[in-house]
Amino acid sequence: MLDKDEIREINLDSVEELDIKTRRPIGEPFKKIIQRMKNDTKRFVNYKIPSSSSNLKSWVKSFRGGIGLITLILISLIPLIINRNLYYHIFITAMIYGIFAASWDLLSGVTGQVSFGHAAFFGIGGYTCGAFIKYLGMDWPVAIVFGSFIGVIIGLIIAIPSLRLKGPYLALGSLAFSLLLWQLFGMDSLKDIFFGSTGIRNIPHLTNYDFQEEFFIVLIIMIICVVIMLAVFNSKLGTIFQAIREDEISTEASGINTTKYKLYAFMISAFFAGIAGSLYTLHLGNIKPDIFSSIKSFYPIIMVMIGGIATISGAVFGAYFFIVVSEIIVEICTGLLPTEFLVIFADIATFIFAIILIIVIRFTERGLMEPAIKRSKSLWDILLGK
Amino acid sequence: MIFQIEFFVNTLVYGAALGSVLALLAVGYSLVYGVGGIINLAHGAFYILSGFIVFWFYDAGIVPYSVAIILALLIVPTIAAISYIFLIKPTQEHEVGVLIITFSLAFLIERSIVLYEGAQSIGEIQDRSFPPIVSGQIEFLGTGINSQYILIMIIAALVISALIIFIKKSKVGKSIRAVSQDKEAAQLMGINVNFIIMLTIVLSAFLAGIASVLYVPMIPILPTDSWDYLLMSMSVVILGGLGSLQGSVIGAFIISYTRFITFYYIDIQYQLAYSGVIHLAVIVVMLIVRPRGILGKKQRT
Amino acid sequence: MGVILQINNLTKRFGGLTAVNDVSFEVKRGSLIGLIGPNGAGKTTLFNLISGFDKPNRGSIWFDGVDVTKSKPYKRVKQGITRTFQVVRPLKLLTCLDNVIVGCMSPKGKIQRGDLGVDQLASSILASVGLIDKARIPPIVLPFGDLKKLEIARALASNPELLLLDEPFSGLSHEEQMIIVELIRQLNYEGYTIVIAGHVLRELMALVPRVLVMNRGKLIADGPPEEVVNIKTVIEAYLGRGKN
Repeated sequence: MLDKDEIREINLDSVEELDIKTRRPIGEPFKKIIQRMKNDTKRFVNYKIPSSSSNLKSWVKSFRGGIGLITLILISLIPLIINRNLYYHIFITAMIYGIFAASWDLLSGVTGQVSFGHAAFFGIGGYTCGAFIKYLGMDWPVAIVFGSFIGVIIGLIIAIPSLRLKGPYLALGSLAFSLLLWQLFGMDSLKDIFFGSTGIRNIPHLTNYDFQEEFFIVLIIMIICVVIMLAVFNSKLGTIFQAIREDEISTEASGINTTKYKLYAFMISAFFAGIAGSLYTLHLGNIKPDIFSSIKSFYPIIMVMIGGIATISGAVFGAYFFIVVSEIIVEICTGLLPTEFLVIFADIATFIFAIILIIVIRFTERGLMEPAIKRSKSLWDILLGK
Repeated sequence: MIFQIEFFVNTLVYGAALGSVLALLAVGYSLVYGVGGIINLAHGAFYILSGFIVFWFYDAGIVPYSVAIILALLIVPTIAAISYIFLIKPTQEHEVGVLIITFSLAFLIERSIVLYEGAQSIGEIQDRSFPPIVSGQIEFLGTGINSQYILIMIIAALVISALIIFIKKSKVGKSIRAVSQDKEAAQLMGINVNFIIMLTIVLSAFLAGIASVLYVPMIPILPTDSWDYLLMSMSVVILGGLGSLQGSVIGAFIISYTRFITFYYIDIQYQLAYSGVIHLAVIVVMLIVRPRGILGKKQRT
Repeated sequence: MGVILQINNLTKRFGGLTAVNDVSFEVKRGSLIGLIGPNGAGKTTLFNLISGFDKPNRGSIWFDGVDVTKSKPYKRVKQGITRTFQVVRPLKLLTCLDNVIVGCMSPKGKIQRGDLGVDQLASSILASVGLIDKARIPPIVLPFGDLKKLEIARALASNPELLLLDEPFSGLSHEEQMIIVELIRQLNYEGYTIVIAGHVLRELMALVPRVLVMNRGKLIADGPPEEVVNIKTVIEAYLGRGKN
């Protein structure tokens, strides 16, 4: 953030006044400014460049990244205090969906390419990982990474044609793709390739059902994944992604091959979605075709909306919130309603969240960018006020 | 020999029937997109909601069958109008926002139906249906066909023709065409653009309702079917071209016949279930090969 | 100092409307040219064609000896053609610095870096248009004059040889226009070939040594401003035929 001294320093020396009366070129064209900066190394060193993105250290120090990360880790330690398997399960699920939601946010929130079928990559990751471990005996880290890669490659089938175009084609194509997979993997007639309606069962658990150990493993993986995605978000690559979201045509006019970068965003997103899917499969010990269902595609959307779109860390918060509150709703329902209705408790939770989502979208101004606007407005206020 | 003829007749008739239903769905869907630029992901939900409303009223026996149909045809377009006013219109500027909000609306409707059904039947969701408007069969080439199928084709043809005439000839139809060409210009000419867009959404819900009322007696519905009908509508519209009504009709029959030909001549032979996913494959292929569809307009930069 | 841009028989039709009608002209490297005409004359469409945002029905565009008629917009930027938009298109929620950085990240934009960091290059570009103090501020809260400057800064970021400025003066106060005039003059002095689309403005006519006039898609005049303003067809284009 520029303070008054920095502004004064820059204004005084580096920009010449334009003399509009004499109508002759005076002052130095910017190439000469650069030359002067290079030659005059002392001033160059003191010339405080306003930097837009930061490296990891400064990001951790800065308010937004640091506090968010620390809070997430602190919240995640709750299950350790209440040492019960249910709590481990809730938080493991929350962390897995956190990775999933963050991956969706990177593609759809940050880059603006909305995907309605993200469950496709979640599921492919899960199936390939499960198959690799159960039938090929791979070690789980290799299986997870390899499985996610395959998910990316398969995802390119739908991504390349969709992202070549400007418009809502990825939204529709991804929805169709995920539902196609839901059907394909559910067809018992194709059991030999796609495992049929029973899916893959009895997949060796990550830590042989030691939930505490699994909790730590998943926590570390989640931190790594989220840190990588945040690093991308805060990097120049992330700047280009956001530019594409803001105005794709304008970004292309600046010389950026937007299709290429949209594909990059897609591949990173699909990869992490695959990792989340793999962890999900390993946690449950089995995988069924309904991992591709439309509701699984809905989850990351609502989690990101709750937590704040285009923030990455908000996605994780949203995931935690959603999972925890869903559990609470289920608990309340268990207390209030007769147990025959147990089946629909999860549906009640989703129903309530669908309403919340509608309200959230309806009442955020300028559509979905309100958090970003608020942040930039306060930036301006600070510059004016201080 | 009889085997063959029966398959042929079935394919011909069922294909035409589903084609008519899809035409009703796709024409509405395409209209909403062409005029308002809105991709309504709750379209499939409107279809099944209409069917379920008829079923609930009919099953409860509160009102006679015909009244149940009329109620469904009134309630769902009203819900569509309310959705537009409160949900879609505010987010209209952002394509992404509209997609997400209609997606959520679809979920809301689907989950509401699931909850209601689940509460009714204690957790078990069954597929629902109700008696057709016309019963009995007709003989055609040695095979019996339910008369309802003929009714479907006739009514679909009538309704779509009426719609096309309405858009071409009437004053409101002119406004619709104006808005579809240039929203701002239409507004400057004094047309209430928001009302026109709402009208198209109401019409599309109405058409979906008609389709539902006619077809559900033949093909029962589950709450989760909303996505299937949405995707069939989308595949028709993508095939025929976003924004082209004629394309929707043509696409509807192509998709429908593809589905039934696949069913009768591939699935049954080889014990597969490709017919259920063929329309999804169509979407994927069309996006790769020719995204603007057969009759679609070229993309503007 | 040869010909940098050659337009041959360029034609673009939109349905029944011919927006650009058999337009041909040459631009020498380093020149400063005005493209004027009444609203709807086809200036922006011509820019769209040259920069790749539209495909012509007929004709060809040669840039620096290469046929670019078929290449995509980002490729043309790489080849050296950059345009600004008449209705400015800043990246509203990114900072001004980020807005410029995007252009610096393009293939051609990267070339001008040398051993400077991207941030530093972008800062100096902002400094050269006078927006350095707004570097950390997003365009959404900035006044219109600053947005016009930002539009030019973003174009400079992609290191163009040929700069197509679409109505850079419109909507600005006289003082602001003078600043843009000086900026353009400086850039031309530095070696940028610049074509400015606009209206008959005192400032524009005083700035450029050569003017192309379009009306209803056709190129109706090509010459120094003093001569062009006296051509009958040009006067008619702006004022209409009158009561004869």
